[in-house]
This record gives sequence, structure tokens and C-alpha cells, in this order.
Amino acid sequence: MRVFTLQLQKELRELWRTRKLLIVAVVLLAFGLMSPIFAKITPDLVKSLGEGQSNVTIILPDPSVRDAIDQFIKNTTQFGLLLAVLMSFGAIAGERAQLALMFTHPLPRATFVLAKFAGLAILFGVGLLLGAAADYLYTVILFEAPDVGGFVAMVGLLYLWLLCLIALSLLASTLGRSVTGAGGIAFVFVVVLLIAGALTNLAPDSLLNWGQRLATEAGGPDRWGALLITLTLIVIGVGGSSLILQRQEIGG
Amino acid sequence: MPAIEVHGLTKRFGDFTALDEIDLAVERGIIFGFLGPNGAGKTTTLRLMTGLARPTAGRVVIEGVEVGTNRRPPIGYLPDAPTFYHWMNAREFLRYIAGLHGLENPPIDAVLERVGLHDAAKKRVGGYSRGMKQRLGLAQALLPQPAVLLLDEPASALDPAGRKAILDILDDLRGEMTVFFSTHILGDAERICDEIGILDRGRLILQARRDELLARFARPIFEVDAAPEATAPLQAAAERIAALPWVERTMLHGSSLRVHVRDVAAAQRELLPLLAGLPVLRFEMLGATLEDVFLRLTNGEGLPAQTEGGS
Repeated sequence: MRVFTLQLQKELRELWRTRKLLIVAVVLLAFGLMSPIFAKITPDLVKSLGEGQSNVTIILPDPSVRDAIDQFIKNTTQFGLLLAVLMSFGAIAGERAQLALMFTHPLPRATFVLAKFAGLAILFGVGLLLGAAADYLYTVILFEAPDVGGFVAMVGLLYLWLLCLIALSLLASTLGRSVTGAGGIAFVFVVVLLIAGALTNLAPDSLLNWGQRLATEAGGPDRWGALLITLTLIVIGVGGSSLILQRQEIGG
Repeated sequence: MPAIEVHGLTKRFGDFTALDEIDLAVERGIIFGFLGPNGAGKTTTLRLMTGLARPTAGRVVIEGVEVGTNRRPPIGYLPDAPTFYHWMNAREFLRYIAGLHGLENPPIDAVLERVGLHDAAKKRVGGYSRGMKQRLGLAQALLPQPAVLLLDEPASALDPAGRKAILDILDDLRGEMTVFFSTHILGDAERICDEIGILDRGRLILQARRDELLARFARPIFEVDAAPEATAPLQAAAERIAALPWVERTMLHGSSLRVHVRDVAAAQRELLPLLAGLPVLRFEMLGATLEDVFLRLTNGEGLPAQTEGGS
């Protein structure tokens, strides 16, 4: 536990000093702030397109909390996916040169992987928390307060979805002998996840839809299967990464 | 018990045999030079000794601990091109390493002083030169005060001043810990090593004490320089010497005489008295250099027969 704590501190310091924490926090905060604003002004923007044209009448429903939540999920998943993969696929592959030195010290390889995952989980946890808080605040100001329980559940499911991407990108980072190789493998994982999302309700993508319904109190089936699959993929990503790294020869 | 024991160490990459049944034993407290041309298998050996790679066959035992088991051998390791976290400074990095080892009062200042990095301790490692990185690499290996220090080409890529600095630090460690370092720079090994192993194409072709090795390879040639006005008496002496049974041949160039001998011990005993009365400026038996030894061995010439006076 002592070595894990030390290694996690090192990871967090690295995320801070290399500005990764700042980048993720600012991007997710910005989209958290902008999502309710976009939801509010989009109908007016669209209506303004029809102004001055006598034969065009654009009729749109008034924006609602549901639109604000939809915008938040859409923006956070798009940019969250990009950030989660970009920040994670180089985490181990990009550090191979240092590993020849580090693994001759009493640093277990499993602890190294766990600390990497924990660091990235904290990074995205902080970013998502800031974004979600900003989104909730602006939704209350511009619309009305969403159901707190549903909103928290939606953020939790969104977080699990991000953790799944991080875990699989870490696995790619361990499998790839170079950063480029790791990036290629991570890209394949993401494509497979997206295709699976289009084909089955058991894919991690179903968590996003479930979260959206929970936050807007819309009815629909729960996605416990997708939740189980997502948790399993996280375990496979982190555990697999750890096992593979333990078997790999370093350097040379 | 030796500090390092290597038994039948073999490493294959597919059909290629990088190391072929290496056997080696290194005494405690000495500086051991592991020599070999590029591609001989030096780095592979060190990776196997540190547990970063697994052997195809054989085993390495360091201070009684078998490498690759659950117990960690007491080693410090410096790879040939150490890479650090560029955003850390040297002190921070050493504190981090000390934390991994659970050291409560790590001798960070003393180690930084020893490797000559004390003044640059707060500078980001990203801005370090190659030589500074090598020193920091040495510092992190020394910090936990290991019983065995394993160094892969620690000075090979440095300029002469940087190389001298690193070799001086290693020389200071004699007796304090066992130092095992690989190099292809023979002068470095000749300067500080107590014992030498020569690796060629994955096979250990020799392990011997440095002094013994150099004596064994010493060329049986004596050189005499006399004052210029003594050319004639030197020529007369050369003719007398050439007739002796232990002399192979003599060569005279002005006031310089070169004597090739068959029996070094006899020459050491009898040659100088034969020059009595001559104004001798220099009398020297030509020694071997490690380069001679290395080139002869790696060219497949093998060991010379041991002579009576040659060891």
C-alpha cells in the first residue's frame, strides 16, 4: 500500500506538472458550462435562419431540461472519449524507456499499472465533477433543477463509461511496444466498442442512454447488463494490462 | 560466497543465440569489467542479471538471491542510456526512489555530492546533458546502498572529462560494494578493473585478474635506449647478447636496442648486468595492453602459454 500511495502521488504530480489535469478540467468544465447555454439558444439560432424569408416558417418546441442534459451527454462523451484515449494510450507505452530503470527498484509492475489507472481515474473524475457541477448550475439558472438523484446517477454512469475507455486504452498501451502501436490498438478498441454500441444494448454505450433517461426521469428499461459488461471490461483492461506487463521483458 | 554467480546463462531470440551458457563468478568488493565488442551480448547479460529479461536457460544468483524469484536481489542498476521523468528535478527523483525502497533518512545530499550533481539538484532533469543524466543514473543506483552495482556502459557515450569523472566515482567504490560494469572501451577497464571477463559472440572467452592477464600477455621484448655517444659499445653488447641461448634475436637502431627473448625470467635476471658500463637512458620490458589481449582473444588467437616469468 505504501508503494501504491507513493506511485499514485507521482502520477498525480505528473498530471499536474505536465498540464494534463488542467487540460482535462478546462475542457470538461467548458462543455459543462456551455451545454445548457447551447440548449437554450439553439432554437433561437435555428429560428433566426428563417427570418427574412417570407415562405419559410420554422416551428420548434421550447428548450427544456432534457435538451440541456442531452447536450451535456453528447459533448462530454465526444470530447471525453477523445481525451480519455489520448491521455491513456501513451501512459505505459510512452514510459517504456523509464521502466528499464524503475523496475529494478522495488516497484511491483501490478502496482505501477494500478497507480496509472487510479491517476487517470482521478484526473477524469475531477474533470467530470467540475463539468457536471457547472452543467447542473447553469441548467438550474436557465431552465429548472433536474432531479438530483437521476443527475448523479447519470454522471456516475458517464464516469464508468470513461473508466472503461481508460482501462482499455491502458491495455492497448501495455500491448503496444511503441506509442504509435499503442495508439493503433486503442483506436481498434474504440471502433469495436462503438460498433458494439450500435448492435447491442449490452455494450458500454448503453449506459449513456440509461443515464440520460435517469436524469430526465424518462421511462425505459434499466441496463444492468451493460453495467456488468462495462465493469468487466474495466477489470479486464486493468488486470490484463498488469498481467501482460509482468510477463513482458523490458528494454533491449 | 561470491557476490555474483552466473550458471549456464543462455538467451535465445528465435534462432539467434545471444548468450551461450555463460558461467561466471565475481568476488565481493571488486570492480569487474565485462568487455566485449558491440553486439557481443553484454546488455543482454545485464538485463538477465537485473531480472528485466528472462533467461532461456541458466540462472543468476546475486548475494545469495536468485534473480527472477519473489525476492529482490540487493542491486543498483544503471542502463546504458538512462531515461528519467523530465518534469522532475534530481532531488525529487532521488526522494521518489528512496520512497520506493522505504528509506527513512535517505543520504540524498551525500549521493548528489558524490556524483557531482549537488549544484544542479533543483534543475529539471529535462534540461540535463548526457553526462549529467549518467551521473543521476549512478546516483539512483547508489542511493539504496546496494551490495552489487550493475552498470551498462556507464561512461562509453561521454566525452573524456565526463568519462574520467564517472570512472573516478567507480574507482572510489572499490571495497565498498561489488561493481560489475560492461564496456567496449578497453582503456576504461584497464584503468579501474580488478578483474575482467571478455564476452565475444555470446560466449565468455575469458575471466581473469587484470594484472595476471596483462602479465600473461606481456610481449617478450626488452628495449634499451643508450646515450647517442654509446652506439659503438651498444653494438658490441648487442652481438654478445644475440649469442645467448635465451635470446631469439636483437635489433639495433642507432642507440636503441630491441631484444626479443625466449625466456622472460632469464632476461629479467641477466640482461641488465650485460649492459653494465653503458650510459643506459631507458630499460623496459614491453607490457601488454588490454587492447592487445582483447584483439588477440576476439580474433580467435586464444590464450598464450603461461611462461615462468610471465605471471
